Amino acid sequence: MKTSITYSNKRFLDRFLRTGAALLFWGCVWAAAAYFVDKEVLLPTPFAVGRVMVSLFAETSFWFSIFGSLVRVLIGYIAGCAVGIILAAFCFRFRLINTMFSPVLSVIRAVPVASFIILALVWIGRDRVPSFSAFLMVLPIVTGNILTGLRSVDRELWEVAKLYRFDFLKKFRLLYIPAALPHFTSAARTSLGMAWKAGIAAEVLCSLSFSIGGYIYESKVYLETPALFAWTITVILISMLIEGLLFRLSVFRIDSHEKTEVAE
Amino acid sequence: MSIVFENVLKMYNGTVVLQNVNLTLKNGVFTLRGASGAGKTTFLRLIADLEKPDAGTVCRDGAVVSYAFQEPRLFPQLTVSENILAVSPEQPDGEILAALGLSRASGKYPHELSGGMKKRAGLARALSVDADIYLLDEPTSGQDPAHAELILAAILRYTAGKLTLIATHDETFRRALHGKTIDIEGTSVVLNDND
Repeated sequence: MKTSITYSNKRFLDRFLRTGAALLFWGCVWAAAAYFVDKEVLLPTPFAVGRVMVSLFAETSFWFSIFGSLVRVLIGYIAGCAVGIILAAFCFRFRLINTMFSPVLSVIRAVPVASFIILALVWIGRDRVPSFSAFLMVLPIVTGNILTGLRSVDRELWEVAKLYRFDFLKKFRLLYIPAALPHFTSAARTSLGMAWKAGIAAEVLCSLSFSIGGYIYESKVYLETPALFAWTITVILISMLIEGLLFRLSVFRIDSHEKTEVAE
Repeated sequence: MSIVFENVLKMYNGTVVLQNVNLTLKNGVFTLRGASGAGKTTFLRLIADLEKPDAGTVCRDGAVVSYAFQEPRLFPQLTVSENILAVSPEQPDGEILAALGLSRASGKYPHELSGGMKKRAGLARALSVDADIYLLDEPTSGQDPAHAELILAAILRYTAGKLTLIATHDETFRRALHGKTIDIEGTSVVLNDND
């Protein structure tokens, strides 16, 4: 036990040091580039950006904006996951629904997010656009992945279910959920980052007040490049934080059981 | 309980595997004998309704069938005990697991078992079902002689008085079952009463 804790701590420390060294390296590259450019409006120094970030942390509007953006994106993300699960189930069960929705999902995948944002701005009003954009990012990925999972149900276990006449709920629990869950997890992971980026992009284009995107838009308009960098770094940090928190939930972990053979 | 084959033809990708199968099987033990790939598993799968004949009929009058597949086919997310309960919820699993030398494995997941244990767990699941017809595909493959004896005893005990078909290459095991032999040679199926 003691050995494993020491080993685990050592690995953590090793990883921490390597990540720290990489960040320090790129921070130095950034500082050197800013020194040579010597124009804050084009490329501010890391210290100028740091100063803006510290001042932002002290403002209530900063935290309100983060909360607002998070709520908008998460609404779209959760709705996208929920509708994606239901749609995948229907597409799997009914060929007609699959035929009808396949081109729609392909179109959603192919159309640039900016086009959707501008169309949504006309259709549904700017307050709902970030959630709608996040929803559209998530829907095709979740639907497609779950459908792939459902279609990959183990044929041999399916025969066991047929032979012993499992009812729908038992088939669902023993065959379909285990087949779909790893695909859903992967889709949920992939689409979270995309939903977050699409949501913020929508806020920028809609110039929403009390939103991260709104402040990014303002920074651009007033050429406040350090603030633009500070908000962008905030977006990255929050994205990493949500991903870290969300995927600590057991449902998002794909535990690969160690295939150890036990001697009789 | 009986199984009736009438003029059954089964092909895979245009190749005839079984043809002109006319057979009536009534309660008792039947062992299937034939070379690898002769069609023993296909014969069992036709009875289990997991394959449809290309011509003719296989009639089993709505009998409940239990099948121990050649591969264990256990649900990986369930323990051995839960795998048994999944197919026969009303049956206590302890006794059958003990009969097959799996008492200590009841709470284990399939990935924690050896190949032989998995195979016996699959057999335990099939035997736990109160079926009219038992289909057992190579139940002793990958087992040492001691476990093969346990398997023999468990089969005789849990399938007594029922129609049981066992595909096997193990001659000692086949003789110990004292059943009738069905020979599968070429594409024909012959019931050998004198064996």
